[in-house]
Amino acid sequence: MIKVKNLTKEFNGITAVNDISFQVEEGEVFAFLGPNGAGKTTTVNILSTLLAPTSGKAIVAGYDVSKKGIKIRRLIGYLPEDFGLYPGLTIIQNLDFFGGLYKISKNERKVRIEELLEFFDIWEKKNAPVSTLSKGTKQKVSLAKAMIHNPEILFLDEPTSGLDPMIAKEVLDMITELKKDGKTILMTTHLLARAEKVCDSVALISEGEILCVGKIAEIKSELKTSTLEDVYFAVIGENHG
Amino acid sequence: MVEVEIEICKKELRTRFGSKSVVLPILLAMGIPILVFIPQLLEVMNQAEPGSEYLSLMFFLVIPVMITTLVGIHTFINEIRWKTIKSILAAPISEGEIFIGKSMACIIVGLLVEAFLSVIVLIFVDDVAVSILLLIFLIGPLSVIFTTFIFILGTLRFPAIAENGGAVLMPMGGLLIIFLVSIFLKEFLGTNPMLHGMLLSLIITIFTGGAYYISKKWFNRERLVLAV
Repeated sequence: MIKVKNLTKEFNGITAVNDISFQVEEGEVFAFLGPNGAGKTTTVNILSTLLAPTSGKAIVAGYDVSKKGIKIRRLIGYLPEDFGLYPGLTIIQNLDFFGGLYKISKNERKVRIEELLEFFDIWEKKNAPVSTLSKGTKQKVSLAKAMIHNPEILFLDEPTSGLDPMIAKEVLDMITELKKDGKTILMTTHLLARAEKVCDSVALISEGEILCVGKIAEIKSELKTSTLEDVYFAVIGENHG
Repeated sequence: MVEVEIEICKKELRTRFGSKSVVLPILLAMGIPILVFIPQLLEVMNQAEPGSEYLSLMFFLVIPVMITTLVGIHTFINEIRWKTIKSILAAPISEGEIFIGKSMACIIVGLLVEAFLSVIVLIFVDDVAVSILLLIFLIGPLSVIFTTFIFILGTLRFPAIAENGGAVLMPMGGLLIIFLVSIFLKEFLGTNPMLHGMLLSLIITIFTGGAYYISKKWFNRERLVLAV
């Protein structure tokens, strides 16, 4: 579903992502783990066709990110790190607007919005302006926005960032539900313990380079550790040390 | 065919006019000049006094363009401030659709103001000159579209200039170009108002097409994403 080969991204001579390669299978939940500034968001932005790679190749749903931007964007859902919602508009108005950008007909949009409001349990707040919502609700609306066109692939940039543990758990549970629906999900997160429960595979990235990638169980057995947290500290700690 | 542009336009109008802090300054900016100039304009036009054409130009070009600018000046900087730009750019829409959708909202407001002013003149002025009719129905609306494209283009390329107010100068620069072309045409073609008006309209249309072409060339996704 997603194939990345020797991908590099430079900004004004600084290498944000350095020659990374990995693969995400259909229906898999794949997490990018790493410290701030490691290159996680840059990678997600390239795969979402928001940024162009400097070199290397990235294929999403069979299309090259450098050549078929609009086709890829039609097939993916994107959750930015900071909600990306209009504060003055209500939940329904926000979802309706983004649904319109995906050229979903008015009637279909209405039905889809109702489904999403139910799924994310935000029906009662549907007419509230986004500026009045809590962070957790905003994140649910943002996830609903990413799902408005029912994409097969989801890119979630820090879906649990800044949320209290209960809401973060709720959001991760919703991601698990989406996985059950067969969605392919690539996400970045700091919540290692929860990520371990939700994700199938991970890539540990630091200073733009992937240090370790693969199925969680395989990585743990290879490094002889019992948790993903131990893997993280062993791999990232060693690199920093 | 233009459904995405219409969605963007509707959202722009909703976000602009949903807040009193935006609506009140616009109403003031529109109301004061209109209240001050309407009686004078009607008087000068009815008496066909010299200088009436300049006041008409001011009326039908500067006021709609000023209001259009007020409506649209923050169009890209707001997307960056609200961090919605990434979500828009991640949707399957082209740069042209974003540009036209955002411009449409400003143009609609400008044309409504233009229409309002025209109705007043057509009701209260006895014999409206051909040059004024051309100004009302052709040159004015085209100028609104042209200047909108210019400042949307400017704020798209350099979003920060919208914050320090520099973008206001862009539509005024566009109007200055129209004035200069108008003077130039008058010098060479004499005072035939029909020919002058038609040629001026043609030139503004060509400039507008040029501004649209440049906007597509200048639309830099990466610059907008990194501005967040």
